[in-house]
Amino acid sequence: MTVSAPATESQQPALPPFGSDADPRIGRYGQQQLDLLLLTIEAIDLNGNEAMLYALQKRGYSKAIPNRVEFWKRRNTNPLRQTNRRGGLNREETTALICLVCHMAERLFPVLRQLVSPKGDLAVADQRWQQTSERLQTLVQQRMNPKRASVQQFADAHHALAVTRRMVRALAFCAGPGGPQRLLASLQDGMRP
Amino acid sequence: MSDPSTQNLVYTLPCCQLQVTGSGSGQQEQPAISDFSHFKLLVVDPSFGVDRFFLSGDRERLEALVSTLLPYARYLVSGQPRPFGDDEAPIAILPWDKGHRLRLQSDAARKKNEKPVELQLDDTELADVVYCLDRCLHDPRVSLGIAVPPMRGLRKRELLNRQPLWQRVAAPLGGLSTVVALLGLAMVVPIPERFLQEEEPPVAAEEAPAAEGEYREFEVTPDGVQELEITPEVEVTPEPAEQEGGVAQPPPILLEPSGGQEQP
Repeated sequence: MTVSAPATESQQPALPPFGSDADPRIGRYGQQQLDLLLLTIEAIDLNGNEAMLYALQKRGYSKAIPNRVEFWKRRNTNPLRQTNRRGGLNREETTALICLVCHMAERLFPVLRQLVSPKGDLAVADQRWQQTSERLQTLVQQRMNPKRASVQQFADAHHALAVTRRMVRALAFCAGPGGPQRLLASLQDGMRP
Repeated sequence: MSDPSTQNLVYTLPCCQLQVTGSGSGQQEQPAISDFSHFKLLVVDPSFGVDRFFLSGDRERLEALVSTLLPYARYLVSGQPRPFGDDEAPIAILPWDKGHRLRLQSDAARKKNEKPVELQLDDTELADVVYCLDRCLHDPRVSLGIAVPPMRGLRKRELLNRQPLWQRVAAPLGGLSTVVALLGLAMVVPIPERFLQEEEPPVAAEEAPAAEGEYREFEVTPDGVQELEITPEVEVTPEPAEQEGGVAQPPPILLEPSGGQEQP
């Protein structure tokens, strides 16, 4: 008997997923990357902000992040933000944001596959990359502190395109039930001596 | 005719299809695989509709696939791909020309010294394979007993490798060359003559003048402390005989009260 397992909907639990011994704390670098991934999702999906809020409610993370104001506050823990808030994210908030990124990556997986695919018309692929990169560039310039050197680098189109490619590639490999574990590990880069 | 207890679960994505087979006791709507027997992994090219490659094997091979591909994908998320699996490993993967090269070698091929099979994967195909493996591992209907390898953040020294070598070496080399240049320049500049004159021997420190203080004597009696009178201006002159003897003569001792106060 052969049964085709559904591939569009994940069976990952609502509150996951890193293992029992994993510590979901992330540092300054992790906060920057997490916010940049959320911005990339917004750059890919024009209605991404609303979709993320809906996903937070639907997937049971409303306890950690109850509304859009709290969501905005959590995203402003990124040190590069124009309206930066002191303090970090606690375990529940980090878990919620990581799972949100992975859920959105899973939702956008067809688009992400299309973007990272080297096959097909190269001119069309370049145009897609260019549009995504420009949107990410605009979002970064709107919301980040322009005095920061890493934000100023975003004025360079080549740098913005390189960052966009790296973020999209990370999102593509974050999709799936094991995505939160991989994403958490990458956000904890540099925390070990 | 197939065994009715044999269950197949198929995970399908545009570029990849993973089929797991085993025996189970689930119903038709909710199949479950309790005893895993083998798997089949098919990677296809959806644009041309042709099969790229086909891989099958038992539990050990699936475990090798999981322990190679999932950590590799984790490093890709960090933006730092690095090879996984050595030449002796049944499955190895390494970054290769904007894509990834999967190297497969069976035990029989290794004994015959045959070259391993090498397959080129792009990001899409690898993402599909990783997604299918993830779904299979986290599927509650399948009890594979294969643990996902632990994933941790990179160490600081691993993060340093993100920068090219010339960028990491540029700052220390610049500082070192500046120090060497300044030292060389200091060697070339002549020393002024005033620093070259011989230094005179240090003058012996003069003897400190005797402390001038009022000399007073006291006598402690049961009734109290009484000050004794001192005879003023007692001069001791040496005898001539002692002077001729060649012995160093002590200086004359003058006993006089300081402060110019005359004694009665």
